[in-house]
Parts: sequence; structure tokens; C-alpha cells
Amino acid sequence: MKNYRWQCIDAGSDYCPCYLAETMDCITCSHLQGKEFCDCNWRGVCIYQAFAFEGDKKKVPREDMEALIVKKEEHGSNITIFTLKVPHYMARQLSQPGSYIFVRNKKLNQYFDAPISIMSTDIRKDLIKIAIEIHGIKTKSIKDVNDSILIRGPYWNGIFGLEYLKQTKDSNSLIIARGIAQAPAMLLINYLLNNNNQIDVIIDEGSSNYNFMKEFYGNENVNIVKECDLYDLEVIDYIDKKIALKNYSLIFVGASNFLQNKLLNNIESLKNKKIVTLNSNEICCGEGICGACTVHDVNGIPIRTCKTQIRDKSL
Amino acid sequence: MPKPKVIIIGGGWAGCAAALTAKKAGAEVSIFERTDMLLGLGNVGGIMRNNGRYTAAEESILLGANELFQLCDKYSRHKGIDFPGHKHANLYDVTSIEPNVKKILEDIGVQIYLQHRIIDVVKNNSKITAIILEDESIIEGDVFIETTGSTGPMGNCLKYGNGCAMCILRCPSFGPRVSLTHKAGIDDILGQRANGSFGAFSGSCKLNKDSLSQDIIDELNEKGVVIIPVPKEEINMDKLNVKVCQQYALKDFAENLILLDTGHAKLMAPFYPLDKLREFKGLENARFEDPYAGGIGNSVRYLSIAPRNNSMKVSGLENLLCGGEKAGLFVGHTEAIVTGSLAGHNSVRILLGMPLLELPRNLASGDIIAYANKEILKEEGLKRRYTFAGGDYFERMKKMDLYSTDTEELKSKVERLNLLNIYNERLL
Repeated sequence: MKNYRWQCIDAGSDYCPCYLAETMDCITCSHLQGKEFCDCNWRGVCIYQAFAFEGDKKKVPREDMEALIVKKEEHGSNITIFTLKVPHYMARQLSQPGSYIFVRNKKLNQYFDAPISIMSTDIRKDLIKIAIEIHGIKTKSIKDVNDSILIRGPYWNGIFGLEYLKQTKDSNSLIIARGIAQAPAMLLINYLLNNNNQIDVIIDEGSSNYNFMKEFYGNENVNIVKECDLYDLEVIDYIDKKIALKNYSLIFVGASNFLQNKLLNNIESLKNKKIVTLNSNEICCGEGICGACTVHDVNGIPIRTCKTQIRDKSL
Repeated sequence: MPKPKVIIIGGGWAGCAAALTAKKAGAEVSIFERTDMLLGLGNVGGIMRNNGRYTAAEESILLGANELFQLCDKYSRHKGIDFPGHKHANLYDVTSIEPNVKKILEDIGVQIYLQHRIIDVVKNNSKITAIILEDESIIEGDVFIETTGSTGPMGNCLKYGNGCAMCILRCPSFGPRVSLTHKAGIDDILGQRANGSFGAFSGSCKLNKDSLSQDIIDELNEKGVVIIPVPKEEINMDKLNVKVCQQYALKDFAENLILLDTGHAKLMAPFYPLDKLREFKGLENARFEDPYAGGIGNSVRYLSIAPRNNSMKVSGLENLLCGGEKAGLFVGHTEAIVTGSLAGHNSVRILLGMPLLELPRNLASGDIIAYANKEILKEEGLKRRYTFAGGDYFERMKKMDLYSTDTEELKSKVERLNLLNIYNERLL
């Protein structure tokens, strides 16, 4: 049995150590899990030391704040895109691919917090864009909000494989995204573009009926190679050949967990590639506490995916 | 058939020494080192040939592990100097030795992988079949030598010390050291201090030489050593107890600031509050070079020692050897090279199924390996350190007539034992 030592996305951030250190459930530090043996895999200032220096207390956690809605657009059958004015540090910290925030109608209480990926940021104007697909209890409660909205963040673990993403420079990438997963894909595409990558995109509008990639029309570094239905078996064959023929350094697969697994398991040429996937788990508190987003590794160890970076092969 | 592979984890003095003897005995050898430099603590040490280390260095040269000792001699800024409690020391230049060690290893054909941190092992029953890198890639090998030292991840430096002092190990940048014996299911042994608490501070720190007064710089450059008396009210004898280096835990070292010229100005104290240090004449502008926060603490060591036999094979595993601090409560480069060289040579004997070499106890090198191994089983033994350079072990060397600076006498002894140049013999 191979024991994995997990890395928390918040380690070393302004929010580390957190509640989990106080309860001795730290994702990264063995001492802060109550173990005697010092056995982390963390590169950065020691979390145990940071905790001791804070007087055995967590840092100030993220809190709700009100954000002004600068613009509200409705697209397709059920997509609403909000442009929000946020503090400068928030815009900056949400620029990393995989960033997300919780949003809710300010008239409602915390049960309605909805985790929403960041689609783009403008750190000069301190604006962020989020896209919401209106289809469940939480999102329906946001649909009619027009003036301002409560947000909590920044959170960062919206994608897995960040490490691979950071290594990708001056090369080719393939983006496969369906429906609302196109929104986080946009932040990721902009990151790849900033690192001089050429990008091929395969999209499936899914139930959103909206093509987010329109924004990249005319960008010579982004090539939309196919618009399709990713559940179509012929498409799986197409992607397999596409990857086999072109040397992609990185492949992003963004869809529901069901579809992501289907693609990862059925596309032979995806094996041994550097894959970034979307964290499509049911994120609820974002702090590793509630357990809604838990998955289990090969050893049956529960992992809180709202904060833990994982790799597919360990699941 | 491809050559059998010996994989060394940890590129400090012990790992480098093991690489040389394993290579000379005929194996394909790779070193995996966590940081961007070889030598580990050897980049901040520098003291060779003081007291019994002279004997050990000569023994190793005669046994055939000559390269590293000769290189240290060649790069010595000062030779044959005395300082309190110590005679005939050489001080190698820590600012220039590492690239030269690297060159020796490259020239002989050792594969060096820097910034390759090993985080786990793959085991099949009592045999290690591969090591796992930080990026989870797997490297297979036939025999493994762990020379990863005994300082754990940074949490240890807080738990047993004063927190990370930013030492040469540079864990926040290169990631924590991992005890592979622990990963392989072997219980590590922990060293203790006199009061029973675990670990011990590294025994010295480095001051930036340019930050000292011109008088001190000149004296260091000329004589290699500067001794400045500590005012009576500042003398802190307790500090001697927290140190790794028993050979320097002498009254003289509490009553004096002792500086040695190793390229930097080596300060023979585990740490020293900067404001106190700057009260000394000539040290008004002093600043630390290693650890960077040498005013508050130092690295904590002896937190994961492998149980082993006197051939350096780790108990409970068929194909893992160890050397340096990983192999016992040893202090110093000489001790690391002595134990590492034996581990490297024996790695090839394991490959061939040959009986493993044990150094006889009428050599200081053989005696320290066997003696430290016996003493570590006792509670009091965990509080001692073993070095040719001083403390109880140097006393023992003198008592057992193992201490000698007469190379000819040592040569005839090694010849009589039929071990002359044994490390130069190609077995494979």
C-alpha cells in the first residue's frame, strides 16, 4: 500500500494554518495531524512552525463580503454572467487558474453559498467575471439578484494538476470542455496564452447552449478545432486520434465527474499525458470541514477536494 | 546484461564517498540529491584531520578511499593548525570545494541527479526494488545506499529546536528530507541530549567574513584561528549540552568565541544571539552566513538513525546500506566519508552475494563503527556522539592505541591486515 501525502492548496497562503490545524486535522502537516513523526511533503515555510508562531491559532479565515454587480448578462438558455467589483487583492488572488469563490444572495443565509469558478479577472479595474448556470436550489436564488451579491474567497482548488499547468510553456495544449466548464477553462486558457502556448479547443456547449470560446475568435493562438457532443462515441475516437497525431504538452478535461472519467478511461492516447481536470465535486464549505466534496484515494483514505490537490492515478 | 545499479540517496560527504567506492568496485552508480549542490553540510563545515581524524583520514587513504581526503587537503586554506583541545587540523575552503567534488564524481562516471528528491521506496518483502521521486516517477535499482542524514523535515527543527534557522539544508526551497528506512518500515533510532530530549543542534555556524573587522579578517587569514574571550557574565555553559559536537563541548568553547577560517568565519557555537555577538570588539557589524538566522538557532539532527550492522547494512532489509549520520551518532565529514566508503564498497559485495567487509577493530575506522553500534543500544549511549576528533571516542582511541599520525606505521598495519587499497579492487 502506497501512502500518499497530500498537498493542501492553501498551504503557505494567507489562510494557512486554518481551522484544520486547530483541530489537528491539517491536510499537509503530520505534527498537526497529531502524529509524532515529522513527515510532510511540503516545500515552503513549515506549517507547524507557522501555527506555533501564531500562538497555536489559525490565521483569520475568509469572510463574506458584499460585491457590487457591475454588469449582468444572460446567454443561451440558462447562463448568467456577472461582472463583479472586488478589492484589489481579491482580483489578484483569483487570477490563478482553478480559482473560485462562494456567492449567495445577501438576503439568504450560508446554506445558499454556491461555489463558482472564476472565468476571468481584470486586475487593473479590480473586476472578476463569473458564469453561473441556473439549474439548482443555490443558483436559482442568485438569478434575480441585480445590485450586489455576497462573495467569500479566494479559493483555489477548482482544478487538479496545477503543478503540470505551471510547467507548460512554449508548447501545445488541448482544451476539452463541456457546458459551464468552459468558464474555468477560459481562465486556464488565458494563463496558457500568457506562457506562450498554442491552444486547440474542443467544446461541447452541453446544456448551457452557449459558446464561451467566442471571445477567442480571431486569436491566432487559440484554434477551436471542434464543436461537438462529447458523449458521442465518434468524438472519443476523434480526440484519441487528435492527441496521437499532435504533440500536446498538456490536456485539460473539464466536464462533470461522470464525463471526465468516461473520457479519461476511454481515450487511450490520454494515458501518460499531463492531464489537468476540473474539480467537479460537490464543494460546500471550501474549508475542508463539511465533507461534502470528499473522495477516497486507492487506500480508502478520505480526501477533502475543496482544498487538496490530487492526481488521477492516486484515485 | 546491463550493469547492476547502485542507487545512492543523499549527496553529502557520505553519499559521495559511497559513490566512489561503489563505482571503483565496478557498479553503475547514481546519486540522487535533493538540493542543487552536493556535500550537504560539507558546504558549511570544513574541519579535517583534527585529533583522531588524522588517523582516520590516513587509514581511509590506505584502504583506497583517497580521493576526497586528498581533495580536502588540496583545498585547505590552513593546514596543521591548533585550537583549544584540537591539534593539527586542516580547514578546507567551503566556498570552493563542492564543484571539485562534483568533478571527481563526474570524471569517474557517477550519474549525479541534483534537485531529485526521493519521497518513498517500493519494497518487495525485505528487498527495496525502487525509489520514488517527488514527481512520483519510479527509479529501479539493485542495491540502495541511504545517506540522507538525520535531520527530518522542518517541523523537527521547531519541535526539538528553535524553529527553522534557514540553514544550508534549505528545506523550504528544496523540500524536506525523507527517512527512507522509516518509509521501508524500519524503526528509526533517535539521538538524545543530556536532559533526554531528542535531537541535537548542529554545533557551529558561519559568519560572513567580510562583516568582521579588518584585524580579525587578517588574523583569520594568517593563522586560521581567532580566539576572543567571552565576558564572565555572558558565559553560558548550558549551550555546550545542546550541541551535536562533543569534541567542541569544552569549557574553552564556552569561555571563548572561537573563529576558524574556512572561507567563512566558522563560529564554534550552535547559535549566538546577534546583539550579543555584536558586542564583541571587531564583530560590531557581524552577520550570519549559515544558518542565515544563526542568532536564534540551528538545524536539529539525529532524528532518524538506521539500525545497521558493522558492514553498514540496514537491519531488516536485504539490499539497503547506510552511511554518515544516517548510520549512527557520528559527527563530521571524516566520519561520513569513512562510513560512506565502506557502504559503497559493500553495495557491490551485496550484488555479488559475497560476504560483506567489516573493518577490523584495530583500525580506528573499524572500531568507531562497531563501538558506536554497540553504544547506541544503551540509553546513555544515545546521548553521546562518536567522532575521531574528541569527546569520549578520541579518549578511547588514545587508550586503545588507535591514534597515530605516523603514516608509515599505519601503512604497515593496513598491509598486515591485508586491506591495502581494498577499495580500489574491482569486484564486478
